[in-house]
Amino acid sequence: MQYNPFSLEDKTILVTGASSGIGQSTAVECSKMGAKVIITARNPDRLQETFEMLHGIGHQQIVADLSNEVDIVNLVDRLPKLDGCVNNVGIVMTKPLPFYKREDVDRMFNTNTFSIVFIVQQLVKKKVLNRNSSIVITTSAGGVFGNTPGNGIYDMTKSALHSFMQTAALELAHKGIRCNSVNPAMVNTRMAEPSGSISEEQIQLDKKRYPLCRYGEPKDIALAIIYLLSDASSWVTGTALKIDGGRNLVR
Amino acid sequence: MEELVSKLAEILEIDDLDITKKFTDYDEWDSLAGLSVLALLDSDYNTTMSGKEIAAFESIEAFCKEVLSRK
Repeated sequence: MQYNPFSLEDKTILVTGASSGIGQSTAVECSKMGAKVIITARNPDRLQETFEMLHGIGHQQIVADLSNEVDIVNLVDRLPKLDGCVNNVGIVMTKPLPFYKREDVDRMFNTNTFSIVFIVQQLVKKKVLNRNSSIVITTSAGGVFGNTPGNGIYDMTKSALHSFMQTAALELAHKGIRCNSVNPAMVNTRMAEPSGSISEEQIQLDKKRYPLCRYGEPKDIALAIIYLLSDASSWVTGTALKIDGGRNLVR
Repeated sequence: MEELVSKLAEILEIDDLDITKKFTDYDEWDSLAGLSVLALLDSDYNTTMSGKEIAAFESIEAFCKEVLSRK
């Protein structure tokens, strides 16, 4: 057998937000590294698409809306013992400060922050995570390594997750459970597509601010997540891994 | 019209906004101002436009007329 310290052979990994973007790529790459993958997302059709992309056998898919605590409890009750959990749920909202509404802030925190806090809590309370397992949270370079005007609510949700990641790392270390985050800048997913508030021209201009001259691809992030899930990172916990093409080196 | 103009003046932080000018004539017109106008359209006028469309109006007045015609 070939030497591979990043192998996920014999590991069972839960991937949330698996129907698109970084979550989808992570699920596929984990399966290629030998893991048994359990994927979850809200939309059954899109989840099925990811499921069909997985390599190997023994994977599972479970439809759940993690902004809803009942769904979180039901999901965790159906899980086998895990060696890793990757939390990718996330949405964006672009709005300057004077236009924040309480409901915007509540919705963003429910989806981006609280869903992840409470799924990790349930995994811990129900002892689903094996010793030496690894929790990975997809936070963001935004809100942790730099903030962007108009992105305040999103950045706040990610900054709160960054703090939670560190607390979880501290509190779970004695159980042998590690907790780390990946912090991507812009990645080519539906989040980075032109919209009402961001034009194609602005995106092209923004790419020039990246020393490596491009946005990330989902796989760039997925492979970093694999490192954090694997035994190669056995002595790494509480780390925010910035993956940004050098973006936060420049102003 | 007056109300919309005064809200735009507030976003751009210009007291005597000349509505015959284009948004892009003002140095104060930047990406944050653009996002603010988009957010204003969404919250107060129940309509949307792209940042590019807003910048393309031949005058602020023309922009205001378009927004109000959608109400």
